[in-house]
Amino acid sequence: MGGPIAQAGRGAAGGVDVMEDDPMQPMSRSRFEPETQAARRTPASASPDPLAPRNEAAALPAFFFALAALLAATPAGAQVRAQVWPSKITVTTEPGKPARQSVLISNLGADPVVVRVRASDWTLSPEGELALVPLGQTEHSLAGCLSFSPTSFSLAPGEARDVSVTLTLPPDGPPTRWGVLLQETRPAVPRPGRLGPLAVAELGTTLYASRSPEGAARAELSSLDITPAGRDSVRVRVELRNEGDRHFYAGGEVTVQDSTGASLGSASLSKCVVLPGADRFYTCVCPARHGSGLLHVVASLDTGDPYLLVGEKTFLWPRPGPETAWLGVQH
Amino acid sequence: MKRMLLALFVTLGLVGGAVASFAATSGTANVTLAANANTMVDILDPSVTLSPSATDYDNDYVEATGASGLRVRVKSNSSTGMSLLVRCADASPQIALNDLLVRTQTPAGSGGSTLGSYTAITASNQALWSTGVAQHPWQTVTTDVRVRNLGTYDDASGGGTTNYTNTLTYTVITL
Repeated sequence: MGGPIAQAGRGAAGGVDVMEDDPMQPMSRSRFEPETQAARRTPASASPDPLAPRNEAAALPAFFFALAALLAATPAGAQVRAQVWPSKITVTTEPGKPARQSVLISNLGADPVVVRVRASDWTLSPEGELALVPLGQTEHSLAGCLSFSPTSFSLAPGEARDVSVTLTLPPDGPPTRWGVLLQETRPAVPRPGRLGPLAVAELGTTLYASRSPEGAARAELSSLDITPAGRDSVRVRVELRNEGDRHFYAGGEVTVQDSTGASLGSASLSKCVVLPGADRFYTCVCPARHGSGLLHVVASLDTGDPYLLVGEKTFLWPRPGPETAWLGVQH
Repeated sequence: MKRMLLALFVTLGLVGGAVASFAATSGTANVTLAANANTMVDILDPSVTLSPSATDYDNDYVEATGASGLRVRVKSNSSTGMSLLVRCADASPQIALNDLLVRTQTPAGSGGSTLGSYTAITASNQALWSTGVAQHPWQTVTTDVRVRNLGTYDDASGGGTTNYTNTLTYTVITL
């Protein structure tokens, strides 16, 4: 089933260089023995280990009009266990100049699998909700800029194989484009005697391709809002905007301080991508107990620049009401 | 080496003495680990069979929740976390998509979210569970499954049970 550009498969443990005991590397069979499967299970209380094999469920009374609705993930004993590496690729390339990357798919399970590769677009809401949409349906789509090979192949247990990805950006259109390469992995051989189709796991490799250099991102803190969250905390919402041509990653911390600058509590803002021309909202709940009067919220965001992006706001506590605000940049 | 999962660069900077009488007796070594994001998925439960009881028919739904649901394990070293999506891409689903509901009671990871209430499955991906930080150990995400409108699923003409099967596809994405 190899594609037009077949590449030699290689064992997940033996064909690549790995660091020993690195939990994120493809695992050898000895470290990753297949687990016994049981399609029907007893309640969790009967098996304290949630990953332990579970016994046959107590037989239900056979009703004349019984409906057996099987939701198959895979046939019993043919679970899908797979790895993709890398799961995120960013390339900076000149217009018309192909940038080539490899994506390694590993079958870590005990049964052979079939892999089918396809590309998709994705969108991200300011709140971070991800949605996959068909290729070519977004303004920043990689449609026409992306090729990959092979598009389908088989992997024996423990085997891995490269998918060759080529990204070529045009001289016009959005300077940064993004999409995802989806590697659908399903058991190659249906188990006899099992009803229902095979289940599918799909691993994505997110692709970003840009004509703009890394410095082309432009982060701006556009808003900092504070609302009560119970009696001893505040909910802080930070709005970040990317006015640049290239995506960047940002994360940071929010601290609530009293009038002397002493910290009353803090919360972290998870690192996430901010796409070009897009807003990204961060929300966290920050403790403000033992504080009263005028308190300060300080939001610090690391966008990858040499400078931290810092926003401050002062509010009256316990009845929050914004008094003053300052948004700026700090070394 | 052309390809390495983790590229390990070791740079040795040996400081040579400018003056012969002060020969170098110490040096520095820089070790740089160039890590890449990678992701693993493991579908633990091959299938779940929902066998409705008389009470289920009275309620007009049957469900498998908690430990009886579908378990999927995921992990990734992506510092921005990951999302687990679910869909039913069957060309001719035997259980109507509007009758097949999913949710998860697995708590979201830090900075993530979950599909906490029953929602009809669709042919396009829906976010089931996510985390905003790297997930180093395996995280098991359990999908609760409910099938409603049981009365519309007929039995075989000869009696006994009739199986209606849909396939769920789990997709893992790191941004």
